[in-house]
Amino acid sequence: MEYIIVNSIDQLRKYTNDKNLLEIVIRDGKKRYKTFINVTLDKLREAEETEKLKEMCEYLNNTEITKNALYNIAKLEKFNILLGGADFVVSTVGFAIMYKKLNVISARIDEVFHNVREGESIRSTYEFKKVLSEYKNMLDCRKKQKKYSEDKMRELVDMEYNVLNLLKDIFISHITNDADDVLACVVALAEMLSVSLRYFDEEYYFRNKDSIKDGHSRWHESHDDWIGIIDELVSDRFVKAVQDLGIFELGLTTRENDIFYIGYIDKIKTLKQSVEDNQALIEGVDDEELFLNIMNEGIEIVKQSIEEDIKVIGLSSEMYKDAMAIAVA
Amino acid sequence: MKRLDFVETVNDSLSEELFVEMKDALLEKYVPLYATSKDIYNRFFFTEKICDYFKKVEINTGKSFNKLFEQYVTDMFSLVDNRIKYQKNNPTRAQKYHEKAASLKKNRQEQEKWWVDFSRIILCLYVATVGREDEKIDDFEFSLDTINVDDVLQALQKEKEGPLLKWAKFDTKKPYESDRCTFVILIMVLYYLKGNSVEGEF
Repeated sequence: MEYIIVNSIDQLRKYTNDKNLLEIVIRDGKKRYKTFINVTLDKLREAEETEKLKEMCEYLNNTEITKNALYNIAKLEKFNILLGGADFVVSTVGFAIMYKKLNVISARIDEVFHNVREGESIRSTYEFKKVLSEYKNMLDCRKKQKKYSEDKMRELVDMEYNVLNLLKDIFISHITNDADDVLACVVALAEMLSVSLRYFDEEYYFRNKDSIKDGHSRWHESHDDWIGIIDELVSDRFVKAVQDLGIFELGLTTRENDIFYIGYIDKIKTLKQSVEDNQALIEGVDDEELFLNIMNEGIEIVKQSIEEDIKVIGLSSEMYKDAMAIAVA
Repeated sequence: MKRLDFVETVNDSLSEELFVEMKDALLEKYVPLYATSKDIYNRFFFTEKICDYFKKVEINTGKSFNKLFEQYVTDMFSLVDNRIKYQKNNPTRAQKYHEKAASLKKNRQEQEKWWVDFSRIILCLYVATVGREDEKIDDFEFSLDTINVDDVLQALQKEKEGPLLKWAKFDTKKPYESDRCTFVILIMVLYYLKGNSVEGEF
């Protein structure tokens, strides 16, 4: 167990992420996740908050922290991945809304598939509707905390990947009149793939990390392929097709079209980043229970446990208020 | 198109930084100054100065601002003439956008800021032809990032016309003639496009 002795704010600075936030996970004596604190070391506010931060440092010195976990977590791009509990809820609700819409157009999409298969002799039994319903089933299992096995998850990821590949090709080749629907499905599928991939990575890593020999990747062999398709969705060729859709079919002005296609690129790149951030988090934390705890606790619960800890250590409620104000900044 | 409307439309779209850049690009180099330095021109004085400039061109050439703007449109459109690959059965991407620009020009009453879309398309097409004057292009980059003000102006100065391509297409020596005015309008349009650009997160 490594300790860091902190005497000044500057010593903490090297652990901050690019938003100048220090993300801290604190474990109790039994190594269970106890507290999650987010501290800002914003230089602009330093003068005001030096005293409070000094007190925080004293508090930290009294508690165990694994240096590696801290350092790796601090490297993460997006802070909100650590509050994955909230993220999960948002993605389920978001999906329910999308699902209704997608269900309506899925019949048309499958018709397109059918025509493409006929025309191009593609031997594929993948159907968009099947992917939709299996994804929903997976979310349902997680919500009820029912087991959704690593194998089943991998099959889902594979299915999403293959259907997405097919849709991508259909979109680029301009062989359909329903291009805007196809694009909507591409984005929805990419989103589903990124969520499924994150869940699969978690399962795969913790199930297999001990049996994988050193020097071998701790991720599934197909991982690069799966994530690779997201790169293809922002390739020059694909983006040009999106621009063309905006100008010629949606009748957008050049400025509206810029918002459209640049918004699309941002959306897709964020999806890839969320998968990679999740991988970094999994590897950084490297402990399943801790990881699940981080994922399952929402902000309110975190606030509650911070409050408890503060009582135990004996910080005044005044100090707690100040610390919380800094933490949730 | 009224000259004041055009100048104000451009001006209003610019951040302070872009305004200063546009001012630097235009004053002294293309809009002559006789007794003042460009530093003293804030947005109001600048608007006044540019409107004065356009008025001088109108008087000198005998053309209204509307006609001068039309000259800009014609000059721009002719830049990519004969440089686009046209295919009857399977139109090229460049061809589709070129036709769109032509349609915007023809049916301008349908859209108030038609000249914005028109300019964006033509300039992106033009940038793709620079350095490839002997070829016909079938594709191009439509992203606004590809348009660099200095590069475009440099390329325009080198454009030739005439039977043996001996003459410069744009003779910008005389400040109150149509060609110089086209450059001034073009620079303002370029900065307008930059002022309204959309930034992604990545």
